[in-house]
Amino acid sequence: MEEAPAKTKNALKVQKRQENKFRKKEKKAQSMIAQQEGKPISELLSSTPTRYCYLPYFGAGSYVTFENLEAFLVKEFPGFEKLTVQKSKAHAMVTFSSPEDAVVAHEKLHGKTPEELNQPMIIFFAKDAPVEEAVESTQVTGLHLVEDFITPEEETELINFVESCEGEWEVLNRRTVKHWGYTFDYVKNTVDRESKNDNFPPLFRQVREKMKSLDFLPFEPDQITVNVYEPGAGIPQHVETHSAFEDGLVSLSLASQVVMELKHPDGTVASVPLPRRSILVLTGESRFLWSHGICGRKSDTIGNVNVERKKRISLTFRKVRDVEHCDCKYQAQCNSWVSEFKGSQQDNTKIEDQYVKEVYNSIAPHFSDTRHKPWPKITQFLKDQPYGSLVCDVGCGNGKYLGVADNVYTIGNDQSVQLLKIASERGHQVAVCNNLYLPFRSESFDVVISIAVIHHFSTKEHREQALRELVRVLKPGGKLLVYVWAMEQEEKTFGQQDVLVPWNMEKKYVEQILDQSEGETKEKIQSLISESPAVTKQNKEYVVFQRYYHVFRKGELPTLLRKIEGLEVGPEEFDHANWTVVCTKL
Amino acid sequence: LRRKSHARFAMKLITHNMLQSNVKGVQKGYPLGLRATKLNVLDVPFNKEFVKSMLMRLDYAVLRMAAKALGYNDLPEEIPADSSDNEEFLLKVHHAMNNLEVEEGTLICQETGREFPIKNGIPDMLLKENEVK
Repeated sequence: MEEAPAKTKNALKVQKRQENKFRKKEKKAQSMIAQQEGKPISELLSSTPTRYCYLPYFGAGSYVTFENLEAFLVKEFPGFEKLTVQKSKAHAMVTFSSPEDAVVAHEKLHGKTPEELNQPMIIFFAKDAPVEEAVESTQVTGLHLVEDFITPEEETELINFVESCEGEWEVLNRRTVKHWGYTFDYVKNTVDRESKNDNFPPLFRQVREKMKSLDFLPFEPDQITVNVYEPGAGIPQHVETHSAFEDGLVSLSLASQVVMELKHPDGTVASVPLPRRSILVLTGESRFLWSHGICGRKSDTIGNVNVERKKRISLTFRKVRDVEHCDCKYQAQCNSWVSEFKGSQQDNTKIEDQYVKEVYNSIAPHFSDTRHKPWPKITQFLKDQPYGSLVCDVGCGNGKYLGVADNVYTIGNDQSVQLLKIASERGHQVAVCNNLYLPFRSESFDVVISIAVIHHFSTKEHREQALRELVRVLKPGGKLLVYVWAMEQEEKTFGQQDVLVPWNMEKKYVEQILDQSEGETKEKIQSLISESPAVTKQNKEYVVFQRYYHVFRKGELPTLLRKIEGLEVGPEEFDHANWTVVCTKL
Repeated sequence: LRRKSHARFAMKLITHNMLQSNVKGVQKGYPLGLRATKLNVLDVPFNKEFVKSMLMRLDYAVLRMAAKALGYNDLPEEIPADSSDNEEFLLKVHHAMNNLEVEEGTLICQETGREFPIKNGIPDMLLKENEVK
């Protein structure tokens, strides 16, 4: 009898502590939103429910991708309308059909951690709708939309044909795909150029005949891909592989309208409604420079009307290049340019200097501002290590993981002295060095972690050498954790492994970085900034940098690790768009 | 194990204990010589378990040599037999590994004489092109 009151008292204490902790988190999130919006929080939040909600930490830099978050919201909330992420803000905004729908979401999510997202959620009601950043399709150079390209009768015939079509359909998450004109190699994820055949169904030939009247279409298509989308399904943003197809992509929409989004590397978004029976033709910039995709959601806003999506069929017509090579000027988007650039480098460290080290030095404060939350699995991995373990965080950046676990002592290192300065200011032990030549004695660390680093090396030899260095400094029995960006995301697209990923830095950070740097580093930063393109968007000026990545296929990382003697390689897992492996040194 | 905000940010001797010269061809790059032009002496709270645990992972002779280079001569030549309970000894080890921080200085490769600068408390171990090929 005496125990019971004490227990309840204790439970109450714990509860109170947790509530206070959460309140602190809420306050922190609020002040971050206020800081990023540039307005006091009282002008941004609504005390009564509205249709619009803030989701702090789910914006730029969130490790939950836009597609994953959107898919989750679509699934859970019938009242979900739209997810808005502005590229320089760490918070996202969600629009619901009504305040009541927003309340449902608030009850279900606020203070909870949904398993699918694996991130604790905080939701605030916003006073105002998110700022629309999309532009008209007329702003997209080379884009043509031709409505009523086929008659309703022709549409019905095509739909019937596709629906009754047997043979090899590729079944993906929420759509099925079939190709005509060439055999498709699903292993290499591209057309088999040798297999050109001309056996298009007569109905498809008819549509192609009509295209002859389009004077803006540079080539006659010889390859067709049919996509059958479940209602509401989408396709991730992608640029059609430069080296595979000529200029001029034609997409015919059947059975349902949809809104397609095109994204420019500088962040501009264009929303293009595609009515039934219309064709969208992408040439020039719209084909080579802008990416295109369809958000997965139940309905689209066209004009001021919300139009529900039905099952939609698209026929995409393309012309396969005779030789797999592209000569365009859009270097960052061009797989031919990236692989040739790599090949032409005498010394691949030039890529690793110019498109990795110098960029991180230039963007350090901005980059650090968007890296908020340590990933739970990595934090847990560190917390699971024996008390007093000595950890080496190779490529620690701004030191995100240097202080997450109290039971270990971590020494961080990175190539970027500017990022390390930030880590150092937070009270951590750090050193500047190159992963390829670690300045540590062999077998000196109990644990080594390499988080989002190895994918910055431009050759297989460098990637292997970097991994070998990680193993060298590890003690026998020690553990190694590696995370690298995965090439495979939700659905396959014609992608490539060597890519340049843009980083748009607000002009205000230029002053900051020049202030924080000195000597030779500062000179290099000044030089890189002056060489990098500048864009203006919504009255804000940005400098655009490119970072080099070699994204990893499934199985690629374990294969590399298994080449290293005396290392036990654990199973590969997929965590937040990364492939990850834990190894033990024998 | 986490230091509080009074800890200034600069290289401690734990870090020095792990660092070695990786200039190509060097056989004996460890330990690195140490010279401080700006030394900070802190007063970090003593955590006995942490010190014992870290002591097992350090090269003691190198820790002692580095501490001497910074003007701290109190560490005995050998680890005493009763080290795990010898609080007097452990406090000295604690002082050497946690309280001495080099904000500006140099690390020296004993084999080649190559100097690695310590600036703003951060050792710069980046190699030049000719030190790597």
